[in-house]
Amino acid sequence: MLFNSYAFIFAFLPAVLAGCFLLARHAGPVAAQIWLTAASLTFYASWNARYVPLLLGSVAFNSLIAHAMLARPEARRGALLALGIAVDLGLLGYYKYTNFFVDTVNRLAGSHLFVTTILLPLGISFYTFQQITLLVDISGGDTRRFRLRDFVLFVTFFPHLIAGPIVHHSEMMPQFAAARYRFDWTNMAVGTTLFAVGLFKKAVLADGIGGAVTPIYSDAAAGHPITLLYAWAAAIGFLLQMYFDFAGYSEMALGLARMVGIKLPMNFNSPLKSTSIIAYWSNWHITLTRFLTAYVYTPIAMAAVRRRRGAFASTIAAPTMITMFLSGLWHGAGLQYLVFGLLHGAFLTVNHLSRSTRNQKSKSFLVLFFKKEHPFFFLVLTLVAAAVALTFFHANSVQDGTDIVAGMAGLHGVALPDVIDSRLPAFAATLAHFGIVFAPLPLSPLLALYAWMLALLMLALIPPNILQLMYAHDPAITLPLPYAQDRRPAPFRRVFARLAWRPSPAWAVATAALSAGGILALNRVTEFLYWQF
Amino acid sequence: MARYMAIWAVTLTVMLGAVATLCAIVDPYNVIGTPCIPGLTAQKPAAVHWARLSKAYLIQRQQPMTLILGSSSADVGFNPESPAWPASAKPVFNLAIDGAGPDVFLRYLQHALAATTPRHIVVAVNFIESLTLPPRRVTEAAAQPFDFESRMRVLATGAPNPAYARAHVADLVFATLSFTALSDSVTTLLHQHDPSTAYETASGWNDGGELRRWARADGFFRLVIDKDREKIAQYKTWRAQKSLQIDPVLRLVRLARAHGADVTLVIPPNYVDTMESLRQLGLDPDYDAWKSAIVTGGTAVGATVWDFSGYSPYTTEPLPASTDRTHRLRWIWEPVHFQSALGDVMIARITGAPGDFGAILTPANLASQIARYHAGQTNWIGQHPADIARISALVR
Repeated sequence: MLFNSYAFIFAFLPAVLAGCFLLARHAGPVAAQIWLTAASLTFYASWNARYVPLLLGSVAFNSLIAHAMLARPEARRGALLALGIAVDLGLLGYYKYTNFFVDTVNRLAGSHLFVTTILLPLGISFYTFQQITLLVDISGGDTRRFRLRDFVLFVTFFPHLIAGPIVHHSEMMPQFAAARYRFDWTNMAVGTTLFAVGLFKKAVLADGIGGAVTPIYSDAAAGHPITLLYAWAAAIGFLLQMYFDFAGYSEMALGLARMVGIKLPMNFNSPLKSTSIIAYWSNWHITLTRFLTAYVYTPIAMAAVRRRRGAFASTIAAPTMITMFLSGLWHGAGLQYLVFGLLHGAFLTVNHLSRSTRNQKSKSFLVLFFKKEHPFFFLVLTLVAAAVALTFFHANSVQDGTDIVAGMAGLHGVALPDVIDSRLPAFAATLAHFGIVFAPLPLSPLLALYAWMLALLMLALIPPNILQLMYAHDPAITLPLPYAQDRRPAPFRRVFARLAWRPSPAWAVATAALSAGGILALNRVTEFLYWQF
Repeated sequence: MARYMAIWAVTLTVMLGAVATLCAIVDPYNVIGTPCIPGLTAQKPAAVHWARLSKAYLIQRQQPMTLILGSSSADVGFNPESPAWPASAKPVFNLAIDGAGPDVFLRYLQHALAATTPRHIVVAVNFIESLTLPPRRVTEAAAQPFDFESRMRVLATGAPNPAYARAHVADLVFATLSFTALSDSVTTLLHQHDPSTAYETASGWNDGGELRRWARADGFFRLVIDKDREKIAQYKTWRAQKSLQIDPVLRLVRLARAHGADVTLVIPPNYVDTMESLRQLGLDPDYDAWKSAIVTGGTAVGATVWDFSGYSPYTTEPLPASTDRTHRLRWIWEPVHFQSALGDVMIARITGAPGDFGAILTPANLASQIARYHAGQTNWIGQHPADIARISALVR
């Protein structure tokens, strides 16, 4: 069951909310919390009931380890922590990487090892990481107690179970413990608005452009060379599709949780407005960046500092590359995901290096260039870098991704629909002088794709995001800077700075229009891009 | 906040209700079966592009005496309302599907026979549809593949399709509550009297409005040349591996015969450009072999085979000059699609009218008919050196 499905919107969600509010009112918050846990497991089972025992087993195991650690002094928790992490990562590794590992060995060694195809349990990457954070924090003494029912709902809560945001136990379990789960008009209004905006982003915007982008990747997978215009459409189009898809999902998750009075952390903050790749990762999948920074990057960097290795390579470059390598591996079991991670590692390292040049007194062109403000140039550079890396994320293989990037560089030539040759022969002849060829490609889908890209770019780059618009109503645990204080480049800032969500009739009508748009687009139900993690 | 939620709920209900009502009245894909309002919703432009969906439901609300099967050439060329159909053949329904091959014709016939009892089946079989071609680039296709299988009442085995009921519900929702249906409903209302818009009639005919628009915009010369280029590229691709798909046609005939219907296989007229392209590509023997297979296989399972493919005044209309956008061809749109005027002539012939256009092929007269075809070819070649050079340039 997907958030963007009739079954979820018209059956599951109303039933869950009604049950929760009725139980909270007549039987108390504990009953409502148990109801939400049962509903979350039902939601998970609707995908594949066979994996519910795995989820519950993982929760039971981590709970036991956590309680066992709490029963010991801090200094003697190391072995249990190691056992917990080893089992968690072992489970994740088995389900997510066995096939990849065997295929890679077979490819490299020419062997014929065989394992049956292992179906990846939905959300395993998310719930594994969330539970590891609890074990690590108990081990370090940061967490001293927790309640089982809060822990179970923290892991299984359906708004974030499948695709995040990656929540932290310290921000969720206290909320579950304190929540009354009663019906509240403010929570419903804020939650409904967030859900409507997310649904519109996913069903109308992301799926709208996705229908045009996916065929290009299919052609690449079939071995067809991807020419310039299509390669750029594949890269930029998928960046936009991914952004609106994942940001939409995250906002739907925020809205769903808020309907029962729970706040989730912000996961996207208009990342395409970023003028550096460092800023991009600070605003894109924020909860993953937060997790990787706290539990991978910082420990590695601190270890280097402790060993008194203060050089850039050991304190910044190496931790960055290792972190992004693991990020790539986490995103998927395939070499193309590693390329995605390593590319971002390289981009981030270069970005850190360029920042360090700002303090230099050299008068070389590069140093002077980086010292000056060139927001538009760096915004475009960041967009292109992110798009190139995401091309590997979408591609079926490194080869397919490389082909598309080669197409972006013009190495596969430029092909235009032959209708241009038919209608404008003189213009076509001029273009032909520059090596442009005309092929039997339909013109209108190409034009529609570029029109979609332009419209979505404007939406991603100009107006405030929904969390900024709803800033005064605390839509999330962590919030972005208000739009008026957001210093990233955006035209028409003064116009949009006046916009703020309020429970007015105009906003109600606008939210209804977005809801209607999302519902009218449900007929082309597609999975979320971050589904299989 | 309560007021905000109330306004949201009422507005959302009104918006969705309005969309559903409009789409249900217009019924742009014939999925619902709302009675047509002449001048308002009778002509369905969107149904042309959703023919696999539309015709799957439309056929179930009809009881045709004659059923037409085929691809776009039959879809555009055979008008079920044509006066050429004798009373004994009426009512006629055009179940031809744009871009389909014999395997799809067969599935739609199975679907139709699960709900109707036609007595006459007319199947247009083209050489190009029998060629097994590699899949095209996805980005070359103007539309994405449509899952028609779940809309078939029966499976290929003949057993009831368990996915049908669910697909029907999904289609009803799609046809009433979707952006696509809303947009197509508005298009339907706005284009009732637009001669340049293709529409599907209640009897399943595509009136060819799109071809008419292209012919008016670019002229017939451009229309013919563009289609020549496309088909020559396909023939060249096929030449490398040469694989024909005849079996679905024969299975289709057997199925229709088993349901008590007579079957007429129609080899449609080829415009001279197609015949000359085949010759210059060295595919004449393959074309003859295909025709022989249709005739020997088709007659063996009880079909009558009509051949309209030779050199005749209908297929050798002179092409206007490349700069002439006003001259209109009378019988064909371009090498693949013939106009319904020519379709009427063919309907008259296969339903018994006298004439010298087309002939019934049998194993007994096959060799002589093929020889006649090549005699016509030789004759035409001798008289049209400029056309041969024009086509030669395209083939090169």
